[in-house]
Amino acid sequence: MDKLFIVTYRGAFGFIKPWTAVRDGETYSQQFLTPSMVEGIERKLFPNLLKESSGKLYKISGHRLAYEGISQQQEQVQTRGWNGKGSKKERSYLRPNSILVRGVLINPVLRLAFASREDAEDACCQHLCLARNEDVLLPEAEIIETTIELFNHDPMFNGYELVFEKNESSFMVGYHRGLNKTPMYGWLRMVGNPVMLASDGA
Amino acid sequence: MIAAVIGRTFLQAYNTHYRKDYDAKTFFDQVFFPLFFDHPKYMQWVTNSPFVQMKKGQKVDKLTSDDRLEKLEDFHVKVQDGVRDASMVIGGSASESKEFASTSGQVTDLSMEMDSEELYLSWIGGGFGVGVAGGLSIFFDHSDLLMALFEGWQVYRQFLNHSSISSLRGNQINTWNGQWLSYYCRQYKEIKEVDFHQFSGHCRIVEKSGVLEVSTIQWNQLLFSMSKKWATPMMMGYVYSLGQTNTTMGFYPFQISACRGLRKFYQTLFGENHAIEDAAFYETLYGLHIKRACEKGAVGLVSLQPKDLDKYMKDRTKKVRLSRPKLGSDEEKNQKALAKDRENIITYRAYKTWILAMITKNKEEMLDYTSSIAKCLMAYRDGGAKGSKKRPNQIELDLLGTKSKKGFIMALTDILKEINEEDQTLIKGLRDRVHLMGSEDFGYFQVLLKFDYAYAERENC
Repeated sequence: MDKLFIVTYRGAFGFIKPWTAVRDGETYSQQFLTPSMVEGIERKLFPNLLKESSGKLYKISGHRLAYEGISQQQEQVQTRGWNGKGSKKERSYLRPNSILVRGVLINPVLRLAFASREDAEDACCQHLCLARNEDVLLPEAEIIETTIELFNHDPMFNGYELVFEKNESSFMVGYHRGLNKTPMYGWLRMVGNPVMLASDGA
Repeated sequence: MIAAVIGRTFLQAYNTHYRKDYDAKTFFDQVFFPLFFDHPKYMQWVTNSPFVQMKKGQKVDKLTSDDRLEKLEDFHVKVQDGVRDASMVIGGSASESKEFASTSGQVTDLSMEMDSEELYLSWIGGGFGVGVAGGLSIFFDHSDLLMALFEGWQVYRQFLNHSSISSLRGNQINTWNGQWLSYYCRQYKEIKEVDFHQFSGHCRIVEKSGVLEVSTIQWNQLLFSMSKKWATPMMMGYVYSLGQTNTTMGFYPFQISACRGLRKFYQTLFGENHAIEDAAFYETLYGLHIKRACEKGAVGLVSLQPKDLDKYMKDRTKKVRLSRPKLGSDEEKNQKALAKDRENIITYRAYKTWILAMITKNKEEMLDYTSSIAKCLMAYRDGGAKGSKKRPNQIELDLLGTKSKKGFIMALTDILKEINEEDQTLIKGLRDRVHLMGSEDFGYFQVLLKFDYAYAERENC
């Protein structure tokens, strides 16, 4: 039986921008990780893999992302560059603002599965973040030992996982930055109840 | 850009089905443009695109065939010139040729060159947005479904050009797609000829100040319709809206099996006849706002929570009234009262179905459970001193009106002292069950009990 070693990360917020979000006024967070993101997380945890070729995972054999709910937050955004205005003498430059509403994941829980205990132990003492630097997730001390079978079915490992395969139920999830912008595909696996809504304290 | 993915799925299905070998541009020229834009009424309005940019004095409904071909030519020229802003690419970013648009910071810094094939595909895909109430649309990357929508395009065009319904508004392709898809899913046979009356009998076309408009479908109704047609447990949908600024909800699993489950459960609870007769009404009761539904991560059973259930959850003292209407001699009033009563009863059934589907794993065992508790409470109430308010208050305020499990159990204990031995076992069982419930489950359970109690009260009269 193939063993897996699970490291759990928790944080207050997470925001994963969908690749399709362009000139938005409102964007909800994606509730799954794309292949390039998992690759990024892996390279962050194991920097020595940076020299290895892109588009492959070496240590992480699975993941699961769950959260408590989505909260809308207003945020100010600015243009990409400066806009010039007026004639030569009175020329001024400014960067206009606009407001973006983000649907942010509350209390995300990310579980990473490793095939070897050493890797899990290595990962277990590092932080990571979900797309934005400020959305830090911290590891839990305990490493859970389980099997692939259990990891893929037991509600204890609840959450969404995008399985990086191309088949009938796959859909396109973006372009891979490190792989000459090739499209990435996957299908969504749901285990247990991925969204544990915080009860209203009744 | 997701639109291009949808366009590609469709074009492949189209080519296979009609044994063609069209590339995106050929399809655009030969099928898409004639259908969408080559008429006095457009099917889609893409802001700032060459099709809607008018020269001085021009108006869409006054354009001649040559004018329209000229616009198509303008479009092709811009494609060749490499213009790739939002007016040319469905779902693209704002133009930055003169100055940065205020949302330009949202656009990826990957340099994505888009070839013209991709661009035409985005237009084709853009016609497949399925509009739902709440101002959002959904893309389903599913070739059968896209072929069904394509069939609908042609019907929409027929309707737009029909002389007897000349006031039907154009540019509503997304809204149309939603209504059409629902209609299509409920017709089991192949649709040969669609007549307007048949169609408008099924979906709502409303008149607003002299103009006929297709009204937007509720996502829950659409989901119920889809569950009749497709046996798959779920379908991935991409929820979005394109406009001055865009809205991106992202990809969500639409669990159409949840609708099948509810329907079946309704049938088990209240019989096949009711399940069929009540369907048109109860299907509208389920479902949160589409944005709230997306917050639940997947659009399924949880998002199908009846809209008004929340007010009973928030205000536990809120009374449920299910008593029979008083009928008088005025026939018209009686009819109204009876219709209202029927709605109340269906609402009760719909709530019961959903709550039971939510809170319990062994549904079969639970089917009659709350009803028998309610009957038991009713017997307890009627056993009190005549005219006394003590027992009714005890049940309605202390037991069903309390916010906490503790209050509920305390009220039960008080009741337990004064009932006969037979019922004691039942009430004790209830106490143990409630003790083990989570607080969310308890909330649902209490509301359910309240409804069953109101129903028992009705039956008792």
